[in-house]
Amino acid sequence: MEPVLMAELIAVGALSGTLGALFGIGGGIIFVPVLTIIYGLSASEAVAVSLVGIIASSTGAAAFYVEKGAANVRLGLLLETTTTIGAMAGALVAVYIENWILLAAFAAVEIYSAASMLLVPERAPAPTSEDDPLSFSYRDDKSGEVKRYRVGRLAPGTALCAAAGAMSSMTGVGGGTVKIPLMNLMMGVPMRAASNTSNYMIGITAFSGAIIYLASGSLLMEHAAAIAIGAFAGSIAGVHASRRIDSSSVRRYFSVLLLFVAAVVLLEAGGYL
Amino acid sequence: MIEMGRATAAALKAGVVGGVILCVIGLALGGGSPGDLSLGIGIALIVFAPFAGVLVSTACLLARRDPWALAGACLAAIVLAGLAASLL
Repeated sequence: MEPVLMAELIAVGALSGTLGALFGIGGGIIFVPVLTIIYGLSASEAVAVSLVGIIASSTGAAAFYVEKGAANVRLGLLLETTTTIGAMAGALVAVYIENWILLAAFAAVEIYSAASMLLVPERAPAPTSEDDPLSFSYRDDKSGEVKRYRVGRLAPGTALCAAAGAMSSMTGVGGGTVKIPLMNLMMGVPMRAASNTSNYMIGITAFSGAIIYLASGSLLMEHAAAIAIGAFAGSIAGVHASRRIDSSSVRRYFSVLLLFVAAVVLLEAGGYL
Repeated sequence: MIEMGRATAAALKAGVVGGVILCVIGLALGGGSPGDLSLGIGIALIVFAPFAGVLVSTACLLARRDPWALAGACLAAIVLAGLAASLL
């Protein structure tokens, strides 16, 4: 691989990894268009390389957040169960639905989530008792405080994660941008805990896809390695950046990011990407 | 008893850091058998890290008889079943 190309891919990985670790979105929304439009990879080659980058960035960040008690591993395991089932179902159903309809529906969900997060103040119900199995806590990196919260609407939230997984696998856009608003707006998980938990979950979602590309031998190894190196470095930068940003700002910036994702998805739906 | 957060983080870190180091070595060696082997093992380590995290989290929860272990066990079973179905 040419050194210049390698350096460029590492830089792309670093940029995407930083954003991914900071907001819990993985980074596929950046990887795939850049790899196809700028570097001329086919869609399937770009998705395969992107999945490795997503795993490197989300796992790098999750290792830190899980160790510090800033991610909710228990909730992540539960929500990921239905997300995975939804993703499998979505892959089967996707062939029967026009792609532009799926993308437009996805963009609508993103715009609704962004508007809700910008307009509705964050509410995180406090736990009612110490023994409550749905009561959790996390350490806020910025303030250093341990904050307690109670997960609400567990059943509908878990069921909707299946829809998020289905939507993700049908459109090829990462589920983090759907799961974080779901956890935050519907289940009352504080924004910081939701994005950290999403980092833990995204790697698991991407694993299933990446292993298939790896086993089939269709993964561009050098491209994937360069992107993974950059994404991992970016995840470290994202983790450090998150310590300087308070939770309400993360929520505001995340809403703007959702609008950007919606715009990219709408361009794709219209055939412009 | 091993603390779940630390054990899970260690599994995730071991996979991703080890994998990235091998990728750096593989790219530095360039094309050819040693470089390709290093890249292959490095990427495999990175890809398997999240699933290793699930297994470690679930094992820690099982050891504590925590009811949330059921979610981890279901997730591991579903992921493995999905993989088997895709690869066969």
